[in-house]
Amino acid sequence: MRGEFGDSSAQNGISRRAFLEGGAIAASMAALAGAGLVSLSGCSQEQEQQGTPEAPAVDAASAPSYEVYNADICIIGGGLAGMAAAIKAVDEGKSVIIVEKSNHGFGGAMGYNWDQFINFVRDDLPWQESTDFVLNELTNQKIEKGSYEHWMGEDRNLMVRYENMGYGLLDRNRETGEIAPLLDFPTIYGIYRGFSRHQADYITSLGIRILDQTLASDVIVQDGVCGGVMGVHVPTGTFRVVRAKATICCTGASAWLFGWDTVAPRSINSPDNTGDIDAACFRHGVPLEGSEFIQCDLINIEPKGISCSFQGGIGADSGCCEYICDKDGNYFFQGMDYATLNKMDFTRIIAKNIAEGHGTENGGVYVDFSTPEAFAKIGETYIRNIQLWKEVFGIDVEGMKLECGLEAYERSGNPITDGELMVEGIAGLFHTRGGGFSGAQGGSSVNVAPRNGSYAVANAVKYIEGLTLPALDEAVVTAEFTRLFSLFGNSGGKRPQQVRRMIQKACYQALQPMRMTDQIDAGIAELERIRKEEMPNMTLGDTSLVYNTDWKCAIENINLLDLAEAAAKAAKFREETRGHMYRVDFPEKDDANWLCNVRNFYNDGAITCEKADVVTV
Amino acid sequence: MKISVQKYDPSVDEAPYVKEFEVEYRQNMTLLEALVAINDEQEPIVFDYSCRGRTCGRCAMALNGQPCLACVTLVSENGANEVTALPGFPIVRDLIVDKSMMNDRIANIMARQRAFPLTLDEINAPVDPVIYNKMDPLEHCARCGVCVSACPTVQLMGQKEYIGPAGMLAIGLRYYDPYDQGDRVVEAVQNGLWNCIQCSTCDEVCKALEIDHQVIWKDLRAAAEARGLVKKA
Repeated sequence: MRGEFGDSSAQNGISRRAFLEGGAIAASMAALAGAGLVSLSGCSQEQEQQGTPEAPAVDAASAPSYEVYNADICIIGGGLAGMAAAIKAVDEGKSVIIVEKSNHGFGGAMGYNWDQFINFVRDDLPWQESTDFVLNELTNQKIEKGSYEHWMGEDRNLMVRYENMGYGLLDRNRETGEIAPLLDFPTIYGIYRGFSRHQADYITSLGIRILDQTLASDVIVQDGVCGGVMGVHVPTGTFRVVRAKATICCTGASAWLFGWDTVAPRSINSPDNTGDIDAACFRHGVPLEGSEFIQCDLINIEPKGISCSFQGGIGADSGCCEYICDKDGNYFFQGMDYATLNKMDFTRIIAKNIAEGHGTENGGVYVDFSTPEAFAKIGETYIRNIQLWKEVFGIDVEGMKLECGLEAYERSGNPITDGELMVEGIAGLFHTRGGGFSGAQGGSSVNVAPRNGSYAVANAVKYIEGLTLPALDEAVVTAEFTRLFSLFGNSGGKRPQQVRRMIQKACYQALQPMRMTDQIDAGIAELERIRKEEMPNMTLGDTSLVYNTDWKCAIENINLLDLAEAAAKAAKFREETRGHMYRVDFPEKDDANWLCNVRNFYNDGAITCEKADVVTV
Repeated sequence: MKISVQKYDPSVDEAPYVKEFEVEYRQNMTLLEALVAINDEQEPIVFDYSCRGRTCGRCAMALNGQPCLACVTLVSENGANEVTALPGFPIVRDLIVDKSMMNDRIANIMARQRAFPLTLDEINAPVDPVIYNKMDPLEHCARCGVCVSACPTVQLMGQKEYIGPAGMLAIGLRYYDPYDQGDRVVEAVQNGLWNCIQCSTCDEVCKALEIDHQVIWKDLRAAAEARGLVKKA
C-alpha cells in the first residue's frame, strides 16, 4: 500500500529506493511546553468534557515523535509538474519521494479526471520567436529560455510522451478512426482527450515512493540550504519529515483563496490548492512575484453547487463571443474582431463590462444559448455536462440564457527563482512556477507545467552532484512541530472554516478581475483585521488526530492569509490595466510606468510591494 | 431541512453514530452544499471533495443508503436525508473511507502492458472507429467507487471474487486499447467476470453518463467464451 514505510532494514547508504531512516526521534520539549501545548488527546471533545481522560497521543511530558524519510530528491505535489519531475529523477538514477496532499492520482487539478487539451510547440524555433504559452512582455526570460530549451526535438512532443505513459486514444474522427487534432500547424499542435490519471497509474507502475494524504507545511532550511520538507499525514495526524538533497515544489496554483460561493471559491481550483509552500518560502524571506495576476475563464455561477467547475459546469470562451450579453441584453463583443481575441483580452473586456455596472445579479454576464447557432458553439469540454444538468437539476441549457462569471483557473504569486528555477536565497529548493515566469498571463498551464518539472529536476541533479546533506537540526523540526500542534491549544476564537470564508471573501474583493480601488482597500483592511483579530485565537472544533479537517484548514489558513494579503496589496500597487484584469480608475495599459513585475516582501508580518525589472536574457 | 450524518472516529468511538442537523434549504441544493454548510456553521463533520463536478470521485458516500457522489446528488427539502460513509469500504473518519485497495488494483490494471514504446507513426495511424467509440467513453470513469459500493455481487462475494464494475471497466478499457498487448481476457476472468450478474446497477448509479457497462461485460464475455475461458459448473 502507498504511504507505508519502506524496508526498515535498509538503514543507511543511498539506495534507489527511498527508505525509512528511523522511527521516533526525541526532540526538545521546552518549546512545546512554552507554546502551551498541554494535552493533545486522542479522545473526542465530548469525552474530554465528561472527564474521562484517555492516554494522550501527544503530550508535553513526552517527546514528540515523527517519521523520517530520505531521498535524493523530494517532490512536493503529485500533479503534472510533479509527475514529470519524478520521472526525470528516476531517469537520472536518483531516489525520489513524492509528497502529495490528497490520495495519489486524485489531488488538485490533476486529480480531476478531465479531458485535457494537449498542446505543444512543435518546432525548434529560437525561444523568443516561438509561440510558447507563457511568453509575454513580463515573463522572466531566463526561466522561459531555460525551460523552453530543456525539451527540444522529439522531447517536445507531449502526445508521444503521454501515449507512452498509457494515455488512451487521443481524439479521433468517430466515423473513420483517423486522428483528429484541433490544432495542426507547423509550429503548434493540439488535441483533445488527454486524461492525466493514466500518468498517475504510470507513476505507480514505476514504483516511485509516494507519501500521499500528507500536507507539506514547511521546507527544512538550515543556513540557507533546503534539506527537505515537513508536514502532517492527515489520516493519522503523524508529523513527517522528508530529508532530501534537493526539493522541488510542484504545488500548482493557489486560487482557493479567490472568493466563496457555497462549496468553492470563484475558481476551478481544488481545495488542495492553498499555496502552502509558496507561503512557506514567503515566510522564509523569499519575495513573491506576480501576485496580482490571475487567469480567467467564463463559467456558470448557478446552480451554485457546481459553479465554477467545468467538470460539471457549462461555460463559454472566445469562440462564443458573439453570444455573450450583459444584463441589459447588450451583446458587447459584436462588431469586434473576436476571431483574433486572446484570452486576456476576452476576459478583460468582460471584466470592464461588469465593472461599468452591466453585470448580472451574481456579478457575471449571460451566454445566450437561445438559438441553435449559438448552442452549436458550446465548447467541447462542456458538452458532456448538458445531459448531467437535465438529469440532476432538471435544467435544459439548450435555448436558455446562462448566467456565467469570471473564475480564476490560474493565479501566480510565487517565490522568485533564478533561471534554473532554484528559489532565491534557499539553495536546493526548486520551484516549477518561479515568480514572474507566467508574467501577465497569471499562471502556467497543463502543457508547460510538466516541462518545468522536468527542467527543475535536471537542474537539481546537477546541484546535488557531490553534495552531502548536513545533519538534521532538530530545533528546526521542533519549531515546525510546535507551530502546527500549538493550533490545538487555542480557545474562544472562530473555527478555521469561518476564518477561511472571511479570507476568501476579502481576497476576492481585492483580486477580482474587476479591480475597483475602494473594493481593494476594503479587502486589504479586512485581511489585516483577520490577521490581527481572528488568527491568534482561531480555535479547532475537533481535537482528534485522525483526519482532523479543522486542523488541516487552520494550517492552510495561515498560508492563504499571507498569500491573500500579498495578492491584494499587489493588486492595489499596480496602477494600470493589464492581463486579465481591468482596473477601473486606471483603465489603460501603462507601459511607461508598469512594464515591470511587482514583488511582495514579508518582514515581521508586514507585507509590502516593490517594482522589479523584467528579467531579460 | 433535516439531515442526519454518520459520525465515527475509530480511534475513540465504539461504533458509528448518527447526528441530526437542521440546514436551511435552497433550490437545487446538493448534498455537498448541505455538508459544507453544517461543517462551516455548526460543527465539524469530516468529508472530502475536490472537483464539484463528478470527475475526481472524492465525495463518494451514501444518501439514504444509496451510494452517490455528493456533488451531483440533490438533498430533499421535506424528505429523508440520511448520510453515511460509502458502504463496503473501511471508515477512516465520519464520511471518509479508505479506497486504497480499489485504487491500487485499478492503477495496476490501467498501466498499459506493451513490449516496446509507441512511435509517432503508430500513434498517428487510424484505428477501428468501432473500437474507438467503445473505448473512449470509458475514459470518464472517475474511480469514485460508487458502482463498487452499490454492486450486489461485490456485496455478496467481496471484491476478491469480483473486482467490481470500476475495476472490470479498467480491464475493458485496456482490452479495447489497440496499443495494449496484455492478455486482458484472462485478467477479466481472473477478476470475476463470470460472477457479475449483469443486473445494471452500476449503470444506474454511475454519473459518467456516457459509460455503458453492459456493452463491456458482453464483449469481454464473448472473448472469454471464444477461448473457452468459461466457468465450470
